[in-house]
Amino acid sequence: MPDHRLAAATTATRRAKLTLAGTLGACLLLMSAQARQKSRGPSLLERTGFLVLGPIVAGSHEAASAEKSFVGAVGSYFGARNENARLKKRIAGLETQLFVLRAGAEDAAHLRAMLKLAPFLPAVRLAAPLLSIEERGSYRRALIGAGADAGVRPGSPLAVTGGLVGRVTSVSPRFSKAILLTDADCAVGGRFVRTGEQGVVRGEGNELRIDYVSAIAQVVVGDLVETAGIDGIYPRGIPIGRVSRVTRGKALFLAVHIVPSAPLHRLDDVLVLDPSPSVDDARSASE
Amino acid sequence: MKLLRLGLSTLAATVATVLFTSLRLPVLSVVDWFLLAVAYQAASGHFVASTLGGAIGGLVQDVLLHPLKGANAFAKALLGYVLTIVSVRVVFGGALVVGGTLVFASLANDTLVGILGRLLLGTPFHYAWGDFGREVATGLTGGALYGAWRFPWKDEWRRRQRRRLR
Repeated sequence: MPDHRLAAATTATRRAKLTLAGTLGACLLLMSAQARQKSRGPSLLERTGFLVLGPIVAGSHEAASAEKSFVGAVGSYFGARNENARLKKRIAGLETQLFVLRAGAEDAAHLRAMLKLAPFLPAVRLAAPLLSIEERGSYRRALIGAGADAGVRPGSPLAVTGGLVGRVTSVSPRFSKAILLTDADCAVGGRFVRTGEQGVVRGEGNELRIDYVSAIAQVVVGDLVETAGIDGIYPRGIPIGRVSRVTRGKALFLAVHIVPSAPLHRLDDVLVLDPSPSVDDARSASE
Repeated sequence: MKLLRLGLSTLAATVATVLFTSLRLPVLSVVDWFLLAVAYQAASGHFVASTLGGAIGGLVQDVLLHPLKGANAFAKALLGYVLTIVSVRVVFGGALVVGGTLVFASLANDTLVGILGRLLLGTPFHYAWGDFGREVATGLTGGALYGAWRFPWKDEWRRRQRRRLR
């Protein structure tokens, strides 16, 4: 190889190595800055990113919605009769349930008024579409198509009719980021509905486990676990999941595994609930 | 040209990520489109472009979904460099080899991101078979796209025209 070509190749290799070292160094600096940061609010990078990516993300979601509604319209044209019969049956079932639940709700409201208790469940703020989910390794995160402009606040619990989904971690004007129940960083105070035993529910990727349940607790497969309302984040009484496996754990505790009640792999829209007052207090104190 | 390629591939990965997740398509919604964008950059054989492309794509992915900003950028910049070495030094076979390489790249990406999360945020590191399914989906899609990219569409079209004329 002639000298000038060899020199050019060496320079190119050196430039590539320098670029790699510089890029990796910058990434490490960015990550270590976050590890030291105490507040969990959206960073400048996140805010700028959402500002730039907002139109692309919103446009892609609109395109997907249009495609889904077109396919749905074609499908419903051919299957309208069957769907009508199925829906009529479902409405009849739901009306029966509503009749029973309305009576129960009136009773509960009456009892609450007598005992001067506040209702368990906070108000539902809005229903928001789920734009994207990251399900890699220990992380189960979601991007939600509603932000501060729509009234979403950090710490707002997310649920569907089936059960708890997770909570909002950071909010930008048009989008919010959320941590799902199955994320390894997520912890929820839970209680067994049948026995009242409490523990800490943690994400394990695709399922959940409940820690700190005494080895003498009466837990059986199929037991329903709901939020205990002891963590100051999630309100009491939202279903979390059902016990799928009980084994002997470490020390004096049971290892209890739970299958989530909410269909976390098939989420379209989520209900954003009002954050717990303690979350607001903590946020205003940190600000 | 390189800048255009970088911008377009990152844009396409962002659109594909949101579009396929919103559509809930079984395989395509779990594919790491940003890694495929990095592999596309690496196929050009240009180290600087693929490293920077990986960092930018990873950063977009971090901003959209990841709790540790910079984790995917770090992993993808490194993978961009490594994949460029592979594409320059190794004589590649067909779509199957590319798919297999992408499965390993996706596995390396997830492991790196998991380790960084463990070290810097203290997130417990879990690996389930579902994650391997996602890596295989990324490899399969990458292999299929490579196959479609390398397929001689023009020759095939001409051959069909000739057959029709006979």
